Amino acid sequence: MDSKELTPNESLALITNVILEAKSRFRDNGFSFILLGICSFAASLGQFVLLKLEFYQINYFPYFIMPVAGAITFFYYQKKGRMVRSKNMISSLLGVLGAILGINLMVAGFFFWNKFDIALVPFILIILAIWLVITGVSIKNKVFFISGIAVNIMAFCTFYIAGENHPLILAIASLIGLVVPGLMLNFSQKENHV
Amino acid sequence: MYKDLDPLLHSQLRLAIVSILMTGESADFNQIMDITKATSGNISVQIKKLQDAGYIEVVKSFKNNYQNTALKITNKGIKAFENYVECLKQYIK
Repeated sequence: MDSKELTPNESLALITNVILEAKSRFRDNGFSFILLGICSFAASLGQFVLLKLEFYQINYFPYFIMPVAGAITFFYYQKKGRMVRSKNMISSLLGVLGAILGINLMVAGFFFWNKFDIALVPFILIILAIWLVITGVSIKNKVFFISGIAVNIMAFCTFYIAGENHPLILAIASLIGLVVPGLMLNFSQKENHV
Repeated sequence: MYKDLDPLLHSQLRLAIVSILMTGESADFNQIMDITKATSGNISVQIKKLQDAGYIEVVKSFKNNYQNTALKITNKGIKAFENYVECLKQYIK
């Protein structure tokens, strides 16, 4: 590319191509999705096992791993942000959206679980589905979009499942909605760097 | 030839730089090089022209002991780009 003068049609084509190229450069190695997904899967499965073993008093203990995972994710992206070459609106928007939704899920899960009663897991899944669908559309990634739709359907199906099995649904949703898309993002990033 | 078109933006590389900056909050020198595939010397010259016109801001800093040049479009630059696109539409009609 040089500094030659352009015709109007060439200018318009150049603007379109450059904007598309710059916008498509969403760079993420899927770290947050994989870490949060694995922690959420382990915590949900842990709660499911504790409930089955009738440890009702401590059944929610495994979820204390989630604020730790959230903090690790926050510091990871803080550190990465200092090294990152550029910021684009999609990355910033998804980062803020993820943080807001994550905080809301933790507040709901830790402080208002009794108010939500059996609607807690469906609520968590609907929030997760919204996050996944928005992410999928923004970064044009079908895996995130399809996972979001699947988690959304699971959210409403959960109402027909006994409450003691809800943690198992959450564990499955963590794999479908977080771990799988995170791994796919990680693989695609590695391929792009080959 | 195209009198209404801002001569500062009506150049391949300068238009590409401003278009990149229109998509995000900021971009750095390496990203501009990456997308435009232009040489660093040519990019530096065009950045200087855009900076002198007040279309972009250049912030030099150090990141991990490496010099980093971050570029950001100014309000004047946004307005100039919008006017440029409006003029383009008139020519293409």
